[in-house]
Order: sequence, then C-alpha cells, then structure tokens
Amino acid sequence: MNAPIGNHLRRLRFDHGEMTQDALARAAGVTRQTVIALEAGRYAPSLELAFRLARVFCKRVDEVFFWREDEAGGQP
Amino acid sequence: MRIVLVMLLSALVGALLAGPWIDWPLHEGYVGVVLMVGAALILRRHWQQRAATRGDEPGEPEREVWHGLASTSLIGVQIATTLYLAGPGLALHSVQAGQLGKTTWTLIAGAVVSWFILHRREVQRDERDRTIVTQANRVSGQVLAVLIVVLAVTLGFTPPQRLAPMSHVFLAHLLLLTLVISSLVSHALQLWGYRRDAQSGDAG
Repeated sequence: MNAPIGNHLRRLRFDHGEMTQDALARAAGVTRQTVIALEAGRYAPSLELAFRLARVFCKRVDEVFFWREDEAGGQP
Repeated sequence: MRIVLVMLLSALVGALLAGPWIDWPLHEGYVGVVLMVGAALILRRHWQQRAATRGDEPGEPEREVWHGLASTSLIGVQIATTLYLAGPGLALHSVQAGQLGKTTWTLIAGAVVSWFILHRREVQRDERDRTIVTQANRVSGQVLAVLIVVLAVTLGFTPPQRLAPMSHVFLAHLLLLTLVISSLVSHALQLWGYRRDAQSGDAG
C-alpha cells in the first residue's frame, strides 16, 4: 500500500542538474534507501524531513509534496 | 521466507557447533568465527555487486539487522544446545561450562569482527529506520515480558525436589535465552518491516 502523500522528488532531482539519489540523501541527512522509498511512494516523511527535502531544492513543502487525493482529482 | 531461512541456517550451525555430531578440526568457537567472517566477506561482495548493478542493496541499518539476526540465532542456539545436552545440573567449574563459555565468547568476538566487515561508516540511521526499530522493539519487549512471566511462574510453581537439580549456571543461561529470543523477534520484525516496504512498492 502506498503512502497517502505523494511527491515530485524524482522530477526535482532531474531539474537540479540530474542530482543523484545519493546526493539528495546526503543533503537531507537520510539514507539512499529512504530516498528510494519516498520516490516510490512507499514512505510518508515526517514534517521535519519534508522541510529538509524542500530546502534542498529551495522550494516550499507544498511544491514538493502533495496529498494523493488532490492529485487524483485535479492533476492526474 | 529469507528471514526464516537465515535464522534456521544460523541456528543449524549453532547446534552443530555445540553438539557432538561433528569432529571439528579446530575448537568449535574458531570454526564459528571462520564461518562468520567467511559469510560476511561473501555477503559484502554480494551487496557491492547489487549496488553496482541493480542499486537495490540494503542500507547500513538493514545490514546491521541481518547481521544481528544471523549472529544472535547462531550464538543463542549454540547456548541452548549446550544446555540441553549438559542437562540442568551444569556446574560452574565443569569442563562443559568452561567449553560453553569459551565457545560463546569466541563466537561473540567473531560476530564483532564480521560486523566490522559489513559496516560502512558513511551511512547513518534515519527516521524511517527508527520507525521500523520502534515498532519491532515494542513487540519484542512484550515477548520478553511474557517469557519472563512464564519462566517466573513455572519456576515458582515447580516443586522443590524438581528445582533442586537445576544449577545456578543453568538458570542464569535460561534467563539469558529469554533475551536472545526477544532479540531474535526484534531482528526478524525489523527485517519484515523493510521487506514490507519493498513489497508495497512493488505492488504500487
């Protein structure tokens, strides 16, 4: 079962000079396996981790993460 | 399935090291160390290859749990088998107790060496790992409480004439085994947590 919170991490990584999962993991202070789990939608991050990930890309949290029902209804 | 397989295989090695069925060319403890170090070297190479080819190798925290499961299972069953074969009258200053102590501490040293072989210093434990550990430890703590209550009630209601043959060394190791079982439950549940993570991703 996927986490109810989706994200644009994969796209943002590629938009930021094709940043690797390992580089993002180091920047956010998590393991690469957690970045993989996040991108696959298998793990919903804590609020703190969501902020740290958003800061890596200089974005707001709601520009990186979204509630899946919202995307299913408005942006398929 | 893989979790159960690793646990059973390690338990089998522990039983064979403790039992009289094989005439080992070295002391049982040293044989265990050789097997642990060999397995760690093979596993490290396997995970390096997975990292290079598929990129789905387990992270540092998960590697530690695999190591903990295998070494705890091996050492725990080695102790349990020795106790079973020696019987409840195992005396502190006996050949069997000396053998048990030497083998167990040598195996613990082997577990430390194999941990260093598998350990990568650059990766840390993060919130996802901590969540998995917390969930597993909650259950293993309950298992430990149940085991201790069962042991305490059993010993409390055992007639003195049946309790008398049990030595302090035997009873102390029985208590240690409750910790070993609780630790095995924790390791198995953590690995199941990582496994569940991976499977939910495959399905989605």
